[in-house]
Amino acid sequence: MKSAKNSKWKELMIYKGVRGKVTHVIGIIALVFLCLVFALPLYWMVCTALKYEVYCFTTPPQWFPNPIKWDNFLEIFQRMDLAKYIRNTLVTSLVPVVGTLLSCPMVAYSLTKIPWKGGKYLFPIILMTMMIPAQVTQIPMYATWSKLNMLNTFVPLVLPSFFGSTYYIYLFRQFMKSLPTSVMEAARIDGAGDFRILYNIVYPMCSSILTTVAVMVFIGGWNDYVGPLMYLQDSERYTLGIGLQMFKTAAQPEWTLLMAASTIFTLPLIVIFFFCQNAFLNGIQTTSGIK
Amino acid sequence: MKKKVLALMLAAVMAIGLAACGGGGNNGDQPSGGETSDDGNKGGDGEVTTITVWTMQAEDNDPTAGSSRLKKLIDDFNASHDDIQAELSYAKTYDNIVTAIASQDTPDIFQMYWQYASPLAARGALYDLTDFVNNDAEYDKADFLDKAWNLCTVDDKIYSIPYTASSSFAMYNIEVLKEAGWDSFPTTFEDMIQCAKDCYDLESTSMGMNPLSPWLDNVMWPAMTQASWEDADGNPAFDSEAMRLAYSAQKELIDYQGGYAAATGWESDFGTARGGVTDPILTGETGFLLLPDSSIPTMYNAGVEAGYNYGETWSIAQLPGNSMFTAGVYEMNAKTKDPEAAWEVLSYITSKDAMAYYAEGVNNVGQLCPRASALDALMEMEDVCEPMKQVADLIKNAELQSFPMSGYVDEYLTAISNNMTSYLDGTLDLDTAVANVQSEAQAACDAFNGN
Amino acid sequence: MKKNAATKAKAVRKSRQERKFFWKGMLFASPWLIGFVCFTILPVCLAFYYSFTDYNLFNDPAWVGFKNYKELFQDQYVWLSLGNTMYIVILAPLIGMVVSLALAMLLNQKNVPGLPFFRTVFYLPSLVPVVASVMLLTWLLNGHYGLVNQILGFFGIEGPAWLTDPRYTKISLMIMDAWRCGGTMIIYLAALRSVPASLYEAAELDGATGWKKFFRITIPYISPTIEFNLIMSMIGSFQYFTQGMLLTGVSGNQVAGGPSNSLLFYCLYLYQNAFSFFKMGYACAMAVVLFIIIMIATMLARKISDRMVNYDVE
Repeated sequence: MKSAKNSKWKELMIYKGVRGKVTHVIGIIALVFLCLVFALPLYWMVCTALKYEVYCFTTPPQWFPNPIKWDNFLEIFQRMDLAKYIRNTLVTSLVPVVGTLLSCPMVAYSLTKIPWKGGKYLFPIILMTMMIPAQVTQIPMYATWSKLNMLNTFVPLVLPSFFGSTYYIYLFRQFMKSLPTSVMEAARIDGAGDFRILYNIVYPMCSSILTTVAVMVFIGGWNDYVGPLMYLQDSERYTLGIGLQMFKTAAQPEWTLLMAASTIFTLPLIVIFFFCQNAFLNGIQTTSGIK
Repeated sequence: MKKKVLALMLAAVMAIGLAACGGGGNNGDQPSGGETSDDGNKGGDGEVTTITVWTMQAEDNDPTAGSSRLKKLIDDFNASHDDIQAELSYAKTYDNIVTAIASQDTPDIFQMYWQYASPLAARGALYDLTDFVNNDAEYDKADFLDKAWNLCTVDDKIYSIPYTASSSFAMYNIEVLKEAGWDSFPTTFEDMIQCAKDCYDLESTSMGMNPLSPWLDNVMWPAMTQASWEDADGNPAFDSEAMRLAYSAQKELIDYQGGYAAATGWESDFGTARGGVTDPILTGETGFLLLPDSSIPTMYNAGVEAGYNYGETWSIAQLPGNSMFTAGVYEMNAKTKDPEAAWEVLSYITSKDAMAYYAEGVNNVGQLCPRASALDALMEMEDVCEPMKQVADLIKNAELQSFPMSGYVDEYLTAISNNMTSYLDGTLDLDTAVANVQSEAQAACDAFNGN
Repeated sequence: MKKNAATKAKAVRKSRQERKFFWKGMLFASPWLIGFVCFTILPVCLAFYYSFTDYNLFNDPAWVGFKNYKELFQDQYVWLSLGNTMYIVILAPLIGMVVSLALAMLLNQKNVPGLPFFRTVFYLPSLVPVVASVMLLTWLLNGHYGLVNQILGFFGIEGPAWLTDPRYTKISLMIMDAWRCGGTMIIYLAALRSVPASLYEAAELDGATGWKKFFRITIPYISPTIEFNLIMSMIGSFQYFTQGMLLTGVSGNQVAGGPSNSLLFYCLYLYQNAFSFFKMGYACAMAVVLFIIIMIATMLARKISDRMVNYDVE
């Protein structure tokens, strides 16, 4: 019996070996091909950033800038107060990260791991708040913040994140639902309070999704311009997103500068992502370890 | 783990504290009742009125940018006035501004699209500036172009102050037209249509004149045929000879030059190349196009770069009939706490000197402004290119037409856009399209008048 | 007797425990609850109230009952914009899922050199500001000179006029959205990573091949994530706005619907009513109707997915 299984195993391994190699190669080819497809518009973005305005939209399009204008980037630094924008944008990007990571897992935990009756009804209500288009809530919200004297501050932009946001609550809920309750039950029997369970057990289990969410919230705050545009008035508080509008407001948008600015704005995000990749993708394997 | 959490929470609290603190202390424009409000920066000495000005232009360190010039004007104002200080906010969008003036008394002064003066005024959102303008002799109301005032007046009351001006012109390739048998740009509407066809017939061009380029302009063509949109009572009167001609001429050209798909295709192919070194007018790909003045500086630069000289290869001409006129305007919030102070600021930034300064334009290529004095100043400037000066002259003197100051302007324009585009692409016939526009516009008019 | 007392005591204990859990549940949900009361209830209730009024933003709202709703159902542009939006609602989540999942699977391969580099490239597009994305799209999908049509021409296919033909404009937008799927891809990647390798090994021992592994192990294991992404994408698609507005990019604030109004989405038309026509009451009625539609759609979606989503992974 053992020998039969062994030979079957060997057969499978050999078969798998060849098949595996072919799949492997196809996988790599697909990867490279798609990489080129996805990178192409990005190449065009940088390419346009290096062109003179009059060569920007030729027919047929210029594949390589000729002549190359390095000054576009210089011009961005001269015309925009980048230090100021970045400083402000860091506030509107980082603080919501803290807010979201504190509040959303908590609410998700309530929805999934605490066995109370309300959990079933609460989640659909949470979901419903996403279904009202922003255009109609815009004016009452603005009026509310105005009455609270919070206009022209960062508060309307960062405070809501401390009260949870539907998207991330949902995300954490999905993740937490698949976490084994057994561990939590065991801890509860041992007398641990729910906060303890949340922070000492659930958070580490979610580390991969926590980092993912942190990066997503940061990027959302970095690129956001609708909120800052609405609530900030003093240009000392303006963020990168508003700064980018500079090239759009003119009758004929300055495309080369817009592309250069977009490139500059995206670079820090690329750097962050590149270094954070491993952190959130090599997260602790949940179930396999604990079994 | 707990320590980490505590540390995080501490950091959060600190961050919020900092962010909120930084904000709370600087709210100079919150209502505090009464005529004046304390400007926090001033430390509360004396009664200083703060006037907020919102512009749609973005902040720019380039000293020739529109927003920078405005900033300089505001700074000069602040330096010369002790009792009034103006605060400028940049990059505001249309719905930001509407949201703000709907819910509160700031901004006091704001930039706006001229066509909303009538609907906004009817709903009580704007402050009536008639007395201010008429009683301020130094302001020199007559210096402004009459056509500009037309865009700012509703029921004989002035609600906006114009500060930029714009029109559309024909830009044509001299050689192409010559080859087609036209020594100079046609001066009548029928001739212009014929010229377009002749240009199309040439081997070397792929289009004579694409009516869809830059985009279906509902004001430009009716202006050329001198059609009107409303009757004397302000009711929509879309169905007229001249109006029908404005659109049937476009359809005629579209059909002659290969059909609607070809026209949109051409626009997609060459529309983006406009203003570049392969601009279809510069290269002779097309005979001529009807373009707004904003495209002149880039075309001029592209021409210089690629070796196509103005006056030799390409030139500008006035449109036959009338051309269209638009303006950018400033308006005052009806709820403003101190109208006199707000007028001080507004009149300062739109005064003769201010506008002459503004007319230097971005990168000193010139900006068309609705004051005769500013247009004269522009025509004197060295850095400004020849075609811009020509256009300044045209704007100053030519007969230009605008869409009427209608209380239901956007509904009317949308009805026109929807139906007439359907006519041009062949979905509807002319009678149905015109009838639809008339009925939709009439419905909007009735709704506006409260029937 | 003894039995009754025991069960009664048990019942009392159970309900006490239930109450304890109830308050615990509320406590942990309190951030959202507070936020909901402070930030959401007021604007939402106001919007609902305004839908029954004529409100032009500057004067006090005047009660008109169901007039807005009646008008809404007879407005051809409401139906047109709803149709445009439904097009996106049905296709965009599916396309998004397929593309993100495929990319995530490709990135989850073992022994591929330079994986971090590939990951970054696929993620980059979602980092680029939307404004730049739309402009890049305009270049790529240019009818004559755009790269896409040039490549298609290489294969002998005549590419359509992506941005001017009303039949293709929405597809163009969805192509751009697919290009920007980096965020969803990362979520799928995180989910794929959490599938224990032991399951795959056990399956291989039993002779399972690639596709079988995919459908029997991978998909069920990450089904909660799939459900999440599909539903989120669907709700977002109902409110599709920014991209449409940027692509039609008209000056002077005229809301353009694109070629033959093919890009007039429901929320774009809503915006137009609220801010261009100053018919806020009507716009709010549109919002309420949209809310009801989304709610029904979401309930349906969750009913379907609850049967298919597997939460029990022990």
